[in-house]
Amino acid sequence: MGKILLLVFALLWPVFSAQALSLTPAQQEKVPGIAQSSYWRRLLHYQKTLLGGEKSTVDGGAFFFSPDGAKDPQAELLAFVEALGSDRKIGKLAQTISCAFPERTRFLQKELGLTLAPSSCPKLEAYLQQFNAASVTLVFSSAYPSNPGSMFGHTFLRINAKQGSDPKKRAKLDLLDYGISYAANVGDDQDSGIKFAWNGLMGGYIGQFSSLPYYAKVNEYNNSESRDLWEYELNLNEEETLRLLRNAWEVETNSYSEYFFFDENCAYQLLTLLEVAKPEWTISDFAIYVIPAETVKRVAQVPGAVKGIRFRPSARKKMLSRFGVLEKREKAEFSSALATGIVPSSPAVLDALITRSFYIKQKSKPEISPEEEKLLSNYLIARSKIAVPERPGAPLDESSRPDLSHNSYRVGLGSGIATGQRTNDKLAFAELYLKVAYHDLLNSDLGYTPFSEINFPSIRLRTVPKEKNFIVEEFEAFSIVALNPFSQLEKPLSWKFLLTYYQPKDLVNCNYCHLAHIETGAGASLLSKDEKVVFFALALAELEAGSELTKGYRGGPKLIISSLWNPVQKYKVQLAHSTQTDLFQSQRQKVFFLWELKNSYALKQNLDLRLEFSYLQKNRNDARDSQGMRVQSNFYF
Amino acid sequence: MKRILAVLVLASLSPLAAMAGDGGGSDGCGLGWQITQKKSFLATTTRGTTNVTIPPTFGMTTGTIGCDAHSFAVKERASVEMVVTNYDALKVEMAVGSGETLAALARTMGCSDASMNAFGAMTQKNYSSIVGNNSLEMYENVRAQVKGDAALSNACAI
Repeated sequence: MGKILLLVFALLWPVFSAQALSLTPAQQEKVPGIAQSSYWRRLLHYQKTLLGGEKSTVDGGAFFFSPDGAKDPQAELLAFVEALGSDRKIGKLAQTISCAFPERTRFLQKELGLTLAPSSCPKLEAYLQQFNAASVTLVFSSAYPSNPGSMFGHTFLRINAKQGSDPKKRAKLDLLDYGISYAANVGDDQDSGIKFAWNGLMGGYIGQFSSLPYYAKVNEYNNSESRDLWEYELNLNEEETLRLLRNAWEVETNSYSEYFFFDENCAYQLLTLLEVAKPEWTISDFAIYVIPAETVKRVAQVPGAVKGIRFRPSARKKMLSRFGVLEKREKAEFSSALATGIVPSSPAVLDALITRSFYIKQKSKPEISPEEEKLLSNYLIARSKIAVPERPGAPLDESSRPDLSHNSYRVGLGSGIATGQRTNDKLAFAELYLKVAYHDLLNSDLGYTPFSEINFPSIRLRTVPKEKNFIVEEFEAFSIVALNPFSQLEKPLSWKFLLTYYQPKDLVNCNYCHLAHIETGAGASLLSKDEKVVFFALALAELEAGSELTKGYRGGPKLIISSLWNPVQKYKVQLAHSTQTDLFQSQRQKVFFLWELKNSYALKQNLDLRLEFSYLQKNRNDARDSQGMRVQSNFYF
Repeated sequence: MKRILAVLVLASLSPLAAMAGDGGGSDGCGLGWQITQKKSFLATTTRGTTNVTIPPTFGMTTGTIGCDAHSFAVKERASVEMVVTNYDALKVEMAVGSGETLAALARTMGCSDASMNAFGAMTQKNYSSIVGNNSLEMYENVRAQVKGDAALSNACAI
């Protein structure tokens, strides 16, 4: 009888083992608590929605075992546990469920006291072995030169490898660590610039985690793109790092998230991974947008989170550092070498020429000329014959460090006096200024690309008690300014774009009307010898539209000449003169001049004070002139 | 909200889009080949955060795409990929005889920490014969030099 039962059992075993893993009553009791726990919800990448609910940011269905898995943590937990009993293969790598979802498995096994058959996960093991994880470093890459839009930067993780067991090879070589980065997978087709941007902004690309050796990332950012890298060594231990890696595996080998430039971007995904590693951290709750530099700040502000910070300068900064340490006659030798093609014999001059050629080569598309290539080759050969170490370079510019920057949202309270609209008297006003992001020319440049501006959007609300209760003084939709000073080594373009809706000061019968305004153009900037003053001139085309204008629109060329002085870190002052023309109106003032003097003083990292004067000068009797002065205090958060 | 911001960003940046370049390794071998750099202005702006790459399959160890055509032992692949990806940077470090990338290369070739200085000095001394016409030649030259040097062949494991 026993043998028959045994036989029946043996024959039916596949049926038994394929059945759902069922929970004991004691385990079932624990389920609601575990399902609602923040750790379980973090593993599922749940995020609060605008309407107050929660939903997973993972978009691919294969991440969930319950049809409601994206919104119902308990349904997902139960469905997952049930599925754990089966031995079916799932996901992009055809793994068993416990191998495809190792962190969920580990967590639930521990919390619920599940008994699972031991299994091996060769692909997971190979992945983890590649990292040989000990801890994590958060890496931030700063802006491109000449491109304020990239001021937002990019973040990725470097997984610090454990020391090897060989006592002769114990030095930690960061370049051989592996990094994890989240990026939009744009596939093989080269989208046009606009399509690429649209897809990036609207979730048209799938975001993917990828893993590359750190040396590839350093080469890509420092060299090819000439961006600084800032490394923040985090206080994560081996187990925490493994949890992070396992959760990334869960997302990447089974599913995907759509990539959104503004909020579900590289930086955001890393924060969610760090929140799995460190359940006590709450760092991914950003409103409206997630700017990578701001995420670094958020992590850096967690007490004890950052153990150390290291700076890797861009190829451009290395060039400036090598050049900056040359003596006067060596600089002359440098210039004459460039002019004549002669290969100098001084190692310091050679090093400066080499870093210059290297920088130019990296940014040249698609490559430098054969002559330049030959010169670089000659410099290198000449240098290899001089067994002298490199001279220590001039101090590097470390002001791109992101955690020192002012925050990006702004509220300003101001008051001032300006020429009224209905009279020519000077009337008092009060203002409220709100800006969503990011950084203007008068802000302290600490943590930002110097001499850059990118604002979107902001609104200035004004009340003039004697004339008008409330007016939208200006709604600035988007503003971007890039001032790239000429130097002995480069002559780049400076440029500006502005789209705004504002209350003009020069129209006679305006009475608090509004105009839409767009301007764009380019020019040049020069930096003073002490690098504290930038002078720039921009030639722009400008167009305005509004019902108050005779033809409904006006516009023409515009010239801005300005100097921006930053004598000490905290204080900036700008003097600007604009010549604006109106080519389309025959009866109206054709040319008018605007003078502006703006002061900014940074009292703290997130508090500054502004004092501004403006004078719009008329040059016809039937036109208006207008003067104004404003004091404003700005709070950043 | 996203749409409005998207339109604004595009409206401002579209006039300035210039065209793309392409980066990567030399012969189709190694990791550099997988990194596509879009250099158009618009792309570089959003690249600041989108970081355009075609990621190697997450679950697989370092990309060896394109290396099959050349004859390297499996254990050499890490070194080969390093040289292919960092060809230009290695040239600069070899010309001065030291550097972080050189040290990392030495480690991938199994060299002990103590031999790093000698490794660097060797590359500088023999720079002209090591540099080669492309990264694969450089790798093969370095390998030959290490094998031919008594101290280094002892200290390294190739």
